[in-house]
Amino acid sequence: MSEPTVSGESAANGSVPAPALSVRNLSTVFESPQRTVHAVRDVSFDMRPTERLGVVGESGSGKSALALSILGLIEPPGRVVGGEIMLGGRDISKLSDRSLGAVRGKDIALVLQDPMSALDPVKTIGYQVIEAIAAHEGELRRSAARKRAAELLGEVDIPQAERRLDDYPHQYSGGMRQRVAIAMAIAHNPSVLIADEPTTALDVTTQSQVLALLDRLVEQHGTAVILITHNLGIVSDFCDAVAVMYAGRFVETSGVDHIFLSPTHPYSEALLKCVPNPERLAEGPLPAITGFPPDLAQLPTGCSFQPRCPVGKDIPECQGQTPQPHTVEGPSGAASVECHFADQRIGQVKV
Amino acid sequence: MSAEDPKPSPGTSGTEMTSAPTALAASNGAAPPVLEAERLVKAFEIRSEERFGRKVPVTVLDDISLAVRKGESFGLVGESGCGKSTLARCLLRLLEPTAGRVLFEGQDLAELDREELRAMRRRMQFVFQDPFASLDPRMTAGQIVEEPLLVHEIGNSAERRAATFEMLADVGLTEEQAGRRPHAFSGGQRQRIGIARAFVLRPDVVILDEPISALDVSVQAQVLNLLRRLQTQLGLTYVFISHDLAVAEYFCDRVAVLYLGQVMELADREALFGKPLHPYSVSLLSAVPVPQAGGRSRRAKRAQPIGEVSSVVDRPKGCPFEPRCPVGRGRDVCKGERPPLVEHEPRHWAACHFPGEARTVAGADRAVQRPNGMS
Amino acid sequence: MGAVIARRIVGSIGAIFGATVLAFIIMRALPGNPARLIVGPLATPHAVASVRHEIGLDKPIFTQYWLYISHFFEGNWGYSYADGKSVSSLIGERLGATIELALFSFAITMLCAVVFALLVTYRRRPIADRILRGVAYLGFGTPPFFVALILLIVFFKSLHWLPGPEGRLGLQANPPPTVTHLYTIDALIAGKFGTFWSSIEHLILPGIALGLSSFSFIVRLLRANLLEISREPFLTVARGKGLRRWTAFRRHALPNAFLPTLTAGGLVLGEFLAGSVLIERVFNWPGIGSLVFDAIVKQDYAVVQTFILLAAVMFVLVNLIVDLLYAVIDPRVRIPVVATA
Repeated sequence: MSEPTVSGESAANGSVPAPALSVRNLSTVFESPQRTVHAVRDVSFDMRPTERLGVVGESGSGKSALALSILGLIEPPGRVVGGEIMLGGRDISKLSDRSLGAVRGKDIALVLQDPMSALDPVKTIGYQVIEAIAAHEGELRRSAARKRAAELLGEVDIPQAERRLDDYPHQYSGGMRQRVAIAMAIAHNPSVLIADEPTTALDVTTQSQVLALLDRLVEQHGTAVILITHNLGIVSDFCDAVAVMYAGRFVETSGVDHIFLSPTHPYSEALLKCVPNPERLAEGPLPAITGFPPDLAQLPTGCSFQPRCPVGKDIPECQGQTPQPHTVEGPSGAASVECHFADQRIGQVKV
Repeated sequence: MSAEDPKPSPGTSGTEMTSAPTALAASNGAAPPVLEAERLVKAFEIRSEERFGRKVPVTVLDDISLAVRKGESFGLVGESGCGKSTLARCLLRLLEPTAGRVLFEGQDLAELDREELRAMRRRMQFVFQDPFASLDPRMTAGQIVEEPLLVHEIGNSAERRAATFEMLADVGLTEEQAGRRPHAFSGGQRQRIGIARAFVLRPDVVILDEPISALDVSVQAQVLNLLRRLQTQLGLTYVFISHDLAVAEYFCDRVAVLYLGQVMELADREALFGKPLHPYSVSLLSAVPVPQAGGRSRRAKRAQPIGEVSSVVDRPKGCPFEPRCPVGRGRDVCKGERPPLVEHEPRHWAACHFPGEARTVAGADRAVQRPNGMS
Repeated sequence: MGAVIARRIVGSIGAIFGATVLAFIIMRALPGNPARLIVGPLATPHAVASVRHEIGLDKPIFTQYWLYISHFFEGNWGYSYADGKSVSSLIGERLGATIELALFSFAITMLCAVVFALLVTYRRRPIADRILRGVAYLGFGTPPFFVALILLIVFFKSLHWLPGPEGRLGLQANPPPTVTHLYTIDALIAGKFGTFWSSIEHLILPGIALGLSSFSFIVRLLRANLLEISREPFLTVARGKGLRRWTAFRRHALPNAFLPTLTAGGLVLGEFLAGSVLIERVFNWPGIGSLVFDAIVKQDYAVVQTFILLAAVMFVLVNLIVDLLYAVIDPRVRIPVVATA
């Protein structure tokens, strides 16, 4: 069975370009003497150049761990325990930290959630931007570095960039700090950018501006983006493809239209229905998902969503067997779904 | 309505502003307002870098008037710096306003002495945003919920216990859980404890300051359902503060949009979200991403405000939104005169010199964004 | 920045004056005749009267206060009737010893604390962590004089590695010509390397004894700060840029973790400067700690009174330096955070 490319098109015809990033069976655990937390469990996906993948999940889904795992930034007591990560033809999961340092920031970059704490408070903005530039540029004269840094800030729409290089992070607003974070990330034109909830801490209007900026930049630079978020609205605005993550696994992966028009996995459906929709006020209380997110150290056998699943709650098959990724063809494209009932549910669910 | 005029507050351009939404409530013939803000002003002093470290006054609330009717869910939406949290605290008199009045059932809170104020506090409660920081980590859930009863000396020990357990059960927590401390609970559960604490006194009005922002989406839904159910069950009035417009649209009956300490627009839910009059409301609404298919093509039609929210220290003289307004930017009347809050359509108030123009400029009607629903 | 510095300096001056007022009041509040306290129980009434006049007890209270502080800052610290010397010469002889020990101990304490904290936090190894915390608890709980005795027994008596309780240079040696009162520096200036090494040797054990409990405190503080900072997103971002682990740590984690440690360091140095009687007793160290202790016992009031002020001044100065360092290192202090939207 061939893995579908994320946006749902089958790779059968062979004219699909080589993936910018290819992840297979990635698994990460966090170990302590009492328990082992399985944060990422057997995640696989491909990304084409310029593709935008939205990874959607709630807290405890493992999405942040996934981002850090791909970049090799998991610190003890966590470690990546399996899988391969092919970037530009190389398996970066096997690289030493030193070699990986040459890749991070250059071929694959990271933007984090909280702009307030993503910048070192005791160093100037200029220092930090230049640091990002100099990390992969060998010998760089100070004046040249400053010029390039000012250019980068200009690219992210920071006014009076040259002067503002000497400011400190606390003199910038949240939106501006996030732009700086983006500037640092794209400094070397990475082929893949991972953004972990980049706008969650921002105002709605600032969020809109930052997303527009990100949109423009990735178009210009041809970057593939993994956008991690819990906000489905952002996914619909920004992404081509979606992966819904639950308890460390991608339970549904498809093109973006599919997830909104015909979500197949019960969790995807529930997630969509939870979002307050004024038109459905008349229907009574929000269909909330009962129960709590699973304890990643004590996962149930079988499907991890099963205890909360309106479909599979009492079904022995769901309790006993872990569903494998299963490709189904829906009205809005193909999808890879980890559910025993994928075939029955495809195209049936309307949100 | 008031025996004496409130003294003129900084920031008004001198035009006489009627306490419009208060008049609305009165004239309507519907239930009288249970909570009112009348020309509320709140200023703080901070050290300003631009003024050589001297203290400058920062006006966080600039002449706010609104009225909350009994039994409704009144929404306050706005972005950072708009003053919604400060307003909430002024309504409860946790902060003293610099000018203006707060009326609870027609009674000016400033006129109450300590005992009366305390009695009033029983009837107005607060739910905080951060479910972790607002709970004392050394108290058990049961103790946290019981504390308001103790403070107001209600019942004896056995009665308090019973009331506590009943309240906890109402929010979905068991007796056994009452013995645990906050760190043993999830975010959603902690917020329920916070809600139980606020509701155990059976208040009349509850002010909720971003009660679900810190929670996961699925948990948000659970808590919203709980709040709804309790409102019906206990006959409560809510003041619901949120930066999340989708939630406000879902949950509230009437909504006020705040910007830099002023009310920009105030209307019933359908009116505000369906046909917003103020350019700020329009840009705010169009900035909210909607989880629906076809999102990327819609994005082009956004009416983006320009730049970032102005500094609270340097308030523009006229309309606070003017520097960023797609409609009013650069226009003399918008720069010079602060637009009064006027009832431009029945029960729909806006503080704008050119209400309704923003939508034509943006071309982004809400109806477009929800193809399968009416606006 | 200038405004910040000016504010701190003014505050420090205020603190010093507060200390003088306090000391002044205490002296006047003690039972008995201050003049009598100064001259001692055996002096003649004539001596009492002359001291009374000298310290102005017959004058209005504000004049007294003025005399008191003007004498202090002029260096006229009074006369010790118990020892027969001026207070300033008594203290002067001893101050150098205390300052040298304080600085030395401070230096090794901080250095060791930094090194150990780094070792334990840079690569998280639970065993090393536990060992360090165990040592820290022991060090913190053990009284310094006890540590001093143990050190002497082990390193002097048994191993003969280091000199015993014979003060700064030992009984036979001659101190170098006085420039700074610090034997180490003076010895270097005079080119006497033998004396230099000898004085270092003599500083080691008392330095360790004095500093051990502070080391424990600082190392735990620094470890906690480093761990907290390591979890901050900006560290991850720095690594995400491609920086090597040590580089990111050195540039971004260390400066931020040091800031709270700086304050603690200031307190520690202030404490050391005030002298430690017990350490001085054990090692026969001629510092002001024992001087003041003896003065208290002998009711040598002039010395005690001067010492109170001196200690206050030193403490305030050290903290002023810490504050200024803070302003240099942390831009948020220099450029206040304005309430942005």
